[in-house]
Amino acid sequence: MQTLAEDDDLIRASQRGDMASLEILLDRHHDRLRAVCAKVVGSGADADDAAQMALIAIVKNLDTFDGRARFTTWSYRIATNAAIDELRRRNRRVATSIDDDETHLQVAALGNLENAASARLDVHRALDHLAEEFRAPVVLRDLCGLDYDEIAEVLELPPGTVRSRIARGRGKLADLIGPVTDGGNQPDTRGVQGHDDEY
Amino acid sequence: MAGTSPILAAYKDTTMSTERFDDEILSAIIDGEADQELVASVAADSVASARLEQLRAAVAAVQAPIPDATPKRRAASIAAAMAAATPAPEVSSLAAARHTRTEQTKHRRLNPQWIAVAAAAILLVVAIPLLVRSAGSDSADFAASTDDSTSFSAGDAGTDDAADSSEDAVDSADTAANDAEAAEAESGDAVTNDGATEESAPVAAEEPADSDEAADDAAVNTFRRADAQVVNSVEVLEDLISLGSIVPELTAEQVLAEGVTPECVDQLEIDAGATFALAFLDPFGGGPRLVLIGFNADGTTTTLDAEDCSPLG
Repeated sequence: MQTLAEDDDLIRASQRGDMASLEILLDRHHDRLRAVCAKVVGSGADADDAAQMALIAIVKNLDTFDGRARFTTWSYRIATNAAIDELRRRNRRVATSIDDDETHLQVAALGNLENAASARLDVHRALDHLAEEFRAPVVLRDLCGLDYDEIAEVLELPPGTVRSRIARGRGKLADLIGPVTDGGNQPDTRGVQGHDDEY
Repeated sequence: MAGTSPILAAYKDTTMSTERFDDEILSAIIDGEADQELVASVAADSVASARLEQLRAAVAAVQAPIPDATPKRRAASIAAAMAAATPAPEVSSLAAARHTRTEQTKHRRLNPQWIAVAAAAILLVVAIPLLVRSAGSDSADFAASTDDSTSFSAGDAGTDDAADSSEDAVDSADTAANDAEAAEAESGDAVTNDGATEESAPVAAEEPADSDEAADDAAVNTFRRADAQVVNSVEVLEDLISLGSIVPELTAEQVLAEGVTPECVDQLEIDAGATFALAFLDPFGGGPRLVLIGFNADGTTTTLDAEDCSPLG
């Protein structure tokens, strides 16, 4: 593919210190990586932060990229890790923000995850309420289109575990979103809770 | 039907369905990994088919497009990454920090607050000894009183070894005085004096080669003894900047390029375009750590441990 070949050229030039090539490379992949971050962290501002950290990590580790994996897969791993880090930082903030009523609601919603039938959520926020261990595999599969082996490589998990987590993650998401109406693919979003204005 | 919502009923139905076709099987169908016989079996099962549609809806939700980053934020992210690719200023080096400070001092406009700090330092170095000598006090008493009254050493003054603290205080004050004189000379604004400057000036002139080292030593002593409460004052920040242990006037991008997380920057909640300072301080005696200082609009400062964003002081 032309894009991959160009990526390879850009990567090699970047590794030699060509800043212009590096900037093109980062510009080309920013949106893709931010999309992953956004799906994992579920918030526009946090997604931007995670995407920035991912780009910085790519820059700092580009010398170690040896081309054995595809750059997209390699960068997905970095972006996923950056997003998970951001998610954990945010969760720590949530855990310590005991005066925030909205936080109480979020924590309560997380606590009710197993009671999925009563926790119908906006499709855009459903991912927020999916446990981290399921969220990343689902995003890498359904958003990024990676196959199970690639996801296993990114997340450093056995392929069987990846398969299981994707299935369970989709199942939990489906429970959070609610039943499908009129036999189509559009979930029932009537009575959704707390639509996230950032999305 | 009382007490059982349609949603819950559907959920229970789905749970029952998983006895035959669990989510893993249905998920495999979505991923095209199931054989035709299995697909046909699921299609013939109304509950399984409904669940399959639910799972497909979940996939669609994940695939739903999201708004792009704003052009400004997008550019900032790329710029921060590009900055990380270039050699960053060595803020961990006191010598480098001091050089940075010197360059900035050359361009710094006359600041009344800075003059006040410098004047106070000169007062400590020159006037108080004269008073002490005239009162017949010994040098230890002088050092103790200086330590108590010097803001940047006040943090641990009560816990440090008295002799060490006294020496440190004198070193710090000496350096502050030298720096103050340098700043005044650069600004071309002579301090009205009564001979005190004339008395201290030869000291600086006699030991120009040692002044940098002395300043670094003083800076080390100062930041090792400065606690978080002390750092949270503009006056002490000025002192620490003058000693080179703080690199001031950094932009958000420069701070991020130094490895400070965006969360830390966000946590300071200061206005966009405001400046930050990075410092290596030892607020609790556990070893120097990188500290991020934000300058608030109301003139106060907020200090965070740059490693974990925890507030200091």
